[in-house]
Amino acid sequence: MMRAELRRVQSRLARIDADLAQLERTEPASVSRPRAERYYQLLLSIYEHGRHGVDAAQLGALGATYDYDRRGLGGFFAGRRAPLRMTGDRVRLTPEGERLLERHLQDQTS
Amino acid sequence: MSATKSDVLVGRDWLVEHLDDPELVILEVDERPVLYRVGHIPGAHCLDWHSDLQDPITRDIPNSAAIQALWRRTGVDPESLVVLYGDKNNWYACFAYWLFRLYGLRRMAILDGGRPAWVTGGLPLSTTEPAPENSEPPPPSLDPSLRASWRDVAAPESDPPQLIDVRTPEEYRGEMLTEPGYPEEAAQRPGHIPGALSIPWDHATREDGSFKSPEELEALFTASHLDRQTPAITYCRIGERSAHTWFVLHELLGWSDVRNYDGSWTEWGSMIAMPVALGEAPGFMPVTGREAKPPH
Repeated sequence: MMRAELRRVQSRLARIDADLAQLERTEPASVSRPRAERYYQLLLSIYEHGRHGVDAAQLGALGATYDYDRRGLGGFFAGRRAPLRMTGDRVRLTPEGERLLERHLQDQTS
Repeated sequence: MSATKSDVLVGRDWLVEHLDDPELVILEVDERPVLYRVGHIPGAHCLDWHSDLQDPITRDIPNSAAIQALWRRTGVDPESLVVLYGDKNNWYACFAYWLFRLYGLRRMAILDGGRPAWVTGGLPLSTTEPAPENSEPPPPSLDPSLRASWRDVAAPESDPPQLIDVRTPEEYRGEMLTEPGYPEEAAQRPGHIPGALSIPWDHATREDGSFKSPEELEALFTASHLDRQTPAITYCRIGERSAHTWFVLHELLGWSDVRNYDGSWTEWGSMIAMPVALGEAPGFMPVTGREAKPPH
């Protein structure tokens, strides 16, 4: 009876192990999807404007520098892990945006 | 009202014209030191605030030998003219300025507007790190008169100082322990030191990060009924934003007795039995004056 139960557990463990292996084959180790260099350049440009960030007009101009359509910039504000946020009339990096930028710069300069 | 001391603040145009001055030492101090590797003002050395501006073991400022070694590496000697700049509106540049002043360095200035002033001005950036300078500065002596400890706040030897909390209003009121993105700087309790006035550091700057005019700055503090004749102590969370406000009061406006409490809220809000105030009102320090004793 106990041996039968042990075999069932071993069988389930083997199935879980196989599923995990399949997942590891189909997904990269990093959960962050790669982004274009211009994405980080825009974040860096906003960061380089200082603690108060930029206003909407400056954001539009910076976005155009990196070939972002003004309407397309909305994606930077979307989602729980958005890299940018608007506070009053100023656009600044979120903590997530700063983390993304820091990691990218570390990768680029190391 | 005294005029702003113009010799402690330089603009980017001045710096462009003086880049080749042999007595000039340029130091970049960022919250994110990786920015230095992205590009920096030509000839600038990097100060890493994690490793260069703190003792590596104790939570404290570096000792004299460490500062001497740092100055040797970056070419600072007593005759140098040191210009400091950095990201985040010069928070850490002001902290380094305050630290070096503690160790007796006299000829220093902050680049008004910090790193953004240079970068957004389209001025050249270098990725070449200067070689160590190997100057021969004498061992510096620590002058503690510009530094406050928790004892100076809780039980001052003379009249109670004016306390200035330069954190965000939300931190002051006790609605959050830290700003988002700084979880490692959280104290055990939220709130503010009883009696402290809330004057966020960024009220002293314009949107481009440069300092406001002397008249605006003086008005900012007098509007809160602060008095330039009474000793003042600034604090924030770890002492870098309060160094920024210390710079404004002591260096730009010339208030004579201003100290930076670098232990700040991470110390006060984590110690056992320290008095804490919540909400908009400054509150009252329950124990002050000559007869007062620290909680422990």
